[in-house]
Amino acid sequence: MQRTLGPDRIARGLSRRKPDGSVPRFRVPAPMQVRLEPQGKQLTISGRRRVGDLVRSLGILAGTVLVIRGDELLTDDAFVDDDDTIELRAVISGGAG
Amino acid sequence: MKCKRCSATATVQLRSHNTAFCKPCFVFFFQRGVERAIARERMFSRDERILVAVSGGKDSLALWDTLVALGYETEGLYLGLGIGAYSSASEQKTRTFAERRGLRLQVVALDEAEAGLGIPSVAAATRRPACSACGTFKRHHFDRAALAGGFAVLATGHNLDDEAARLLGNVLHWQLPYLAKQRPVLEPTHPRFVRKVRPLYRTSELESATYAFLRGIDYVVEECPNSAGATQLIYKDVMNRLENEMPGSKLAFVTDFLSHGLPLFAKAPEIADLGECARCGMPAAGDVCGYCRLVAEVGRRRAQAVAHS
Repeated sequence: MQRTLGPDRIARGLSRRKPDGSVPRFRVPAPMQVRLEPQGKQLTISGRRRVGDLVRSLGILAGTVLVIRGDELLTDDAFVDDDDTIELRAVISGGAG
Repeated sequence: MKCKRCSATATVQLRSHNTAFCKPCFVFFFQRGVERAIARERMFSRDERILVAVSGGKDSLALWDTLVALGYETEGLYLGLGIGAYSSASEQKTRTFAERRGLRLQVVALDEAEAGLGIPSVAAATRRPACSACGTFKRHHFDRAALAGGFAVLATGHNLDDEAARLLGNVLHWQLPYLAKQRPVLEPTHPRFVRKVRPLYRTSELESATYAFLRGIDYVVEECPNSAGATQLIYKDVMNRLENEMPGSKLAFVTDFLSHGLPLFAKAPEIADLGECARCGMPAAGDVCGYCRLVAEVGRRRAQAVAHS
């Protein structure tokens, strides 16, 4: 059942309706997608946090992965958030040199 | 975080150097570091031709890219190890790298050059660890290609993490002859050898991976399937834990060894005087070199298997 607002709330601008009377649409952000390479493991994580905290929370040692968002590298103090797609690419090689 | 050189927003943080850089400044820092390592250890000069052993991984391709950027005359050598999809992807990425930059690349495929001598089949036939056979084959083919091509120098992409892991292993087992030889430049011990150098010996894996990414180098991210459980990876993990607690430990471990430790081991007994292999003519500690012994063993084991079946 749709709630109706009293005249005082509409007058104070507290209505969720737009001036034309339509209801605004809000997009619920998707959780962050984190891919671990070369394992190919995919994780879903919600909430804004610093890169350093994200890496530590996954039990990964600092300096052993590149943190990649799109075509940019992120430093430990950068923030990542919902809707981001992050790649954590291991830098340790045991084969190719 | 700000770039230490230009104060722009930093892209790269290097805890081991207590610094951070933006993209252009990191590329400058990386290339200058390699150039300084080459000069410090007198690895080679600009009028010497350099054969760069490339595997399709971040280190060797970053090294090749840097040497070209610094103006050295180089040629690449890729050794196809015959390790299934891993080798196919490595070769493809190496060829693409060379073609896009107009660089000369030699490709030696073990499966084609020496019928059936891909690493997996050799390891299976001889029941040796794959890495042991791989090392023997690489050394032989790198030496042979450098000699045949008249190169003055053979450069490999071994990085600081490789050197620190190897040093840790040599110290744990007090491998005196190996400690005496652990240095970024190996002068030839035989007229058929060329000088072997490791220009990335002060460059961490993080730095070479970052450089490769920022330079748009498409490298093989997957590890060699034979490396799972390799001792070197255990040593690397130990060193990374130290580095995490005490940034700069790896660099200090290796560089302090070279300046203070290496002279102490320099008088360790030499492994052997080298003659020439009766079969292939390359340097050998006995009548036949390790490579030819291994190839003969493969042939013998296969003949036995056929006879039994």
